[in-house]
This record gives sequence, structure tokens and C-alpha cells, in this order.
Amino acid sequence: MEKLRTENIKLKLNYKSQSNNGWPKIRVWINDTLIDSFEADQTTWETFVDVDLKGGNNSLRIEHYGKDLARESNPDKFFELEKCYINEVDLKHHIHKFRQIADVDNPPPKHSHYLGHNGHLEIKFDSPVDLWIKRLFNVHTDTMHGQQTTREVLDEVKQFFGL
Amino acid sequence: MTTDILFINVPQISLVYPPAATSLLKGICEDHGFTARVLDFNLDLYTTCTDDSIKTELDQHFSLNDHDAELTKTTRDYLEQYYVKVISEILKLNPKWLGISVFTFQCQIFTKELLIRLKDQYKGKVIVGGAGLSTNGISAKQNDFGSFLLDNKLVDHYIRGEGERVIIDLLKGSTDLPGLDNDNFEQINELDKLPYPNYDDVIGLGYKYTTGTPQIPVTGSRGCVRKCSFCDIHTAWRKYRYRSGKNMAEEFIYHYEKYGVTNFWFTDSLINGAMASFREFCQELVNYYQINGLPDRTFNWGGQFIVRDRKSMPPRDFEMASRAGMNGVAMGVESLSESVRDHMKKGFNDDVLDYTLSEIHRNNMNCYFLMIVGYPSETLADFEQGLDKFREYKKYALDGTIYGVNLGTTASIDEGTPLYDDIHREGIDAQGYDWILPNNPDLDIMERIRRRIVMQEVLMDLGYKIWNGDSQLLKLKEAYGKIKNRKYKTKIKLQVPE
Repeated sequence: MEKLRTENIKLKLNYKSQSNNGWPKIRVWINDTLIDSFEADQTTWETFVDVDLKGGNNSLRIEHYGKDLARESNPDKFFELEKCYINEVDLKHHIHKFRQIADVDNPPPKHSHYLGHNGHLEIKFDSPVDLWIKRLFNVHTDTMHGQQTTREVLDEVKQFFGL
Repeated sequence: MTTDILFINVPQISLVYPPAATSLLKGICEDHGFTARVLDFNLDLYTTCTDDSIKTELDQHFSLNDHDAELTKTTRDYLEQYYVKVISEILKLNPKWLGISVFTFQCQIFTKELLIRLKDQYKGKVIVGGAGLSTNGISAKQNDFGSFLLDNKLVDHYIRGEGERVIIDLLKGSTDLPGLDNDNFEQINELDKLPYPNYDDVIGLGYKYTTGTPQIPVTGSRGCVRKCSFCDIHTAWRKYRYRSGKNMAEEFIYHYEKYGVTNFWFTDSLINGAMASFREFCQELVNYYQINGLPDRTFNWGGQFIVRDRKSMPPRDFEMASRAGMNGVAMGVESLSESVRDHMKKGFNDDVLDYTLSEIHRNNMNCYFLMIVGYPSETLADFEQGLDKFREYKKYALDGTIYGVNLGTTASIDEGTPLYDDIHREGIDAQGYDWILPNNPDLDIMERIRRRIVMQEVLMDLGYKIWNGDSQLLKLKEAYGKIKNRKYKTKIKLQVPE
């Protein structure tokens, strides 16, 4: 069985929502762990959690639940994700890597972040999360010859100075 | 046809883009009817060397600039063979003049050793120029290397300061010229009137280490609008002169249409010193894209950049710069403590830095931090504050908005800087890394090194990409040994071997 790594993750969501017979009910999950449940009556939600993660293929899910489609669709009770920050990093256009899985017969496009029905948005990510973010943004770690920085030289110099 | 003048690039200069000076001088010489060539031995030395241990040793040898240091036999043999090759190529072309670009002090060892070996073989005249004529920065007060070469008859002339006019007058036969074999050089005021550099001889070389595609350097201004305490730019260039935005954009377009190059780097001390010119430049590029059906950001360009407040550089300037292709700007942040920056006279507070970073981030650009650790007024609290600020900015390291940090070695107090003058007025002998000041006695060399190492380690742990860390730490280690043994000196001892 894969060994899990506990990570501190800061999550923040910016969203739009509309009330009808109450505000949309939202649950946030990482893998099978429920992170929080709240009524989307603000424009942002954030938390700081410790979670156990696998090396790859973890999922962050934002679930809209408890809507009665027959009674709460006019005006439409909805939750729409606008921005997602992980460890304070704005995912920017990578927010479109969230996929929508809807609990309806005729689901909307998978790329839509508008949850006007019960269902969830899901994005897959790897651990360590910071490295996953760097890969997402194509942040290179290499430098050119002669301008490199290595742990080996750092350790050598630390040892030389007794630090 | 005889070549009037051959310019050569020598190690060690950055391998990112072809050195600007030699191609600029080639363009100017040709504009005046002289035949000029450029040969590059800077990149060539590294690309023809297949042994990484030799490359690494040469890197350190040139960058430490210790003229007394000895190389291992393998590396010395390699270098001697390389000198034979260089001399052979010079003699094959047999130009009337040989011009060597001593871009920084890191070019001194190669230049000196080459000239010693060339002396009895080459019968033409030799001239050198560049900031490396002075070992301690471009301060106008010192010219140790240029004088050494002239005194020892290794060169016929040296040119201090800007060489564009002097080189032409020299080729025409004049020798009583400002900056020629003296330090009284004159600044060129009308930069728009200079011809464009001619990169024909070097554009096909492999200068593309960072971007993966060829990059061309462009100079938009000389001097600086600020007068930071640790910097000597304003001593060398007393006036800030800059080109019009239109003229700079036209040079970009000229190189793009001639070579197909889309990556450019400004060699200036700052690209946003004159905002009217900067705005005109961005607008001209965007107009060119639109007229020619090219997308925004067709060109990719950056350079050193000063942090400005919202009033002098509002969001619309960042938006237009992004559309024009600005990216990868190098910012002299120097310290993340406001009080240290105040002492440095950097002219911006934390709010302004936050604003600048948020605009760079918002407009999908990125930047690079240039830092100084262990500045004379830096307290332990200032240092800790800097670490906290880096923790706050971690998000920008993860998403690439801050694509690199250069921590430097530690603070060096160099001649030609206001800091040096202020300290020496108080009767304190501070030279380079060898200093301790009575008003901050805890900040001795060991403490400065400790902070430098701690900062690198914390930043690496946070996920920042650190540039030049290895060579800087090794340089510090060497300097510390010399300071401890009272052998540290900023003025190197130059001599021609028997």
C-alpha cells in the first residue's frame, strides 16, 4: 500500500452564488476526506488543513448538494467557481482543469464551473503540492552552466564554516 | 581584402546572448567605411570543451580573477592549446587592428594571458576597452587593468568609457582623444543617432542558453535615474541618457526582419527610467504587431527594471508592456527590509513592491530579484524580516512570477559608490568584503556569510530558484580565507611573468 504524506494545504475559493429557498450547500473534499461543508452565502471560502495525500492522482472536489431541482431552479440556486487558490497560488487559467460531474441526465459541458444542479467539480493533483503547482505553471528548475546552485556546494560551504 | 579591425569576445561573459559591444562597434566601423569582423572565443571555449571538470575549473578561475592562482595541469594544457587556436585565427585574418572587449574583470585573465602569448607574433595594433579595465566595477576612479596592459606594452591603446566615437577617430589616425589612454571620456548624448549593431558574425552561434532560441542584446539607455548607495553607475555615467521609444522599437523590428530573432534583452541599468520613452516603445511594438497581423507578445524582451509606484507606473503601463512582450525583468530589490532599502536610497516601500509584483503576476509576466545580503545597516531583525517577506512571496516562486533570485555574495563596499565615500569620510578603511562598521559591530564577515548561507537555504526550501549560488558561495569562502589571513585585497597585483 502506498505510503501517504501529510501536507499542510491552504485552500481558497472565490465564487458567485444565488439563493432560492436557502443558499447552495457546498462540501469540499480531498480524496475521501471531508474538508468542510458550508452554505455559499459569501463570495470567498478558505481553510488551512492537514491532509494525507498519495504521490499522485489525488482529487480536490467541490460538491454542490441538496438542491431540489423542481423547486429551486427559478431563480436558479447555483454555485459558480471563479477562482481557486492553492497554497496562496492563484491557479489562473489552470482552473479549467476542474472537470464537472453532474448528477443530472443532461449534464452541462465538463469545463463549466457553474453548478446549477447537484454534482461536483474535480481537479486531480500530485503531492508534494508545491511541486505539482510548479509543474502546472511550467516553472523550470534548471539553470545554465556556470550559474547553477546546488545543495552539494551549499552543504560543503556550510560545513566549511561550521554552520 | 584586409580587415581594418577585428573585435574579439573573450571569456568570461554570460552565455545567454552574444556580447553587445563588439557587434555594436562592428556596426559603427562599417558605417564609417571600415571593414570589421567579430570573432567569438567566449562561447567557443565552452562549447568546444567536452570535459565538464575543465569547464568548471575555468569558470571559477575566470570569475575569481586571482591572477596568482594555478590551474591543474589538465586544464592549463587545455587552455594553452586554446590560446594557440585563438592566435592562429587572429593571424589568419591578420587585421590592421585587434580590439579586445574586456567586458568585466572576469575577462582579465584570458585577455592578459592571450596578449602575452600574442605579443611577438602579431604585428598589428592592439586596443582594449570595456568595464573590465577597472577591476572594482566601472567606477571612473580606477583603471588598474587598462593601465597595466599599456604600461607593459601589451596593448597600443585602451579606451575608457564609451568607445563608439573614439574608435572611429583612432582608425582615422587621431590619438589625442577623450578616453583614449586616459580616464577623461565623454558621454555620448544623442544615442538615437548611433547605427544599430551588426550581429552577422555571431548570430549563428549558440548563444541561447536561457530561452532556447537566439536572443539579441539592445541598449536603450546609459546611466541611471537613481543614485543607490552601493552602486557606481552614476559615477561612470554622470548623466542618464536614453533613446526614444520609436528608435528602440525600430531596432527590434530591424533585427527581427533581418535575423528572425524575437527574443531581446536590454543591457541597460533600467528599462523604465524614462517612462515617456518606455510607453512609446511599447506602443510602437503593439502597433507593429497590429499592422503586420502578428499576435501580441510576438517579441519577448526584458531587462533591468526599477520598482515604481502606481502613480508613475499605473496598471495600464503593465498591460501595455505585457502586450508588447515584456517578460523576465530583473529588479534590483536588494533587500526585503524597508529600513535597509531606505538606507540604500532605493526609493520604494513594501506597498510599492507588492503592487509591482501583483501587476507583473496579473499580466502574466515574470521577474528576477537581485539581492544584497549583509548590507552595512542590516540588523538581525531586518534580515529576519527579509526572510518573512520571502515566505510571503513564496506563491510567486511557485507560479513562476518570480522566476529566479540572485542573492549575490554579500555586501561589498566598492570605490566609486556613495557608501564607500561616506564610510571613508569617517576614517574607516572598508574595502570590498573586508569591513566592519562601529555602528553595526555584530555584522562582521562571519555573520554576513552566515546570513547569506541561511537565506539561500531558506529560499531553496521554499521553492525559489537561486541563480549563481555555487560560484558566489565559493567566492565567499575564498574571500573569507584571505580576510582571515590578512591577505585580502581589492586591488589585484598584476604582473607579466618572466
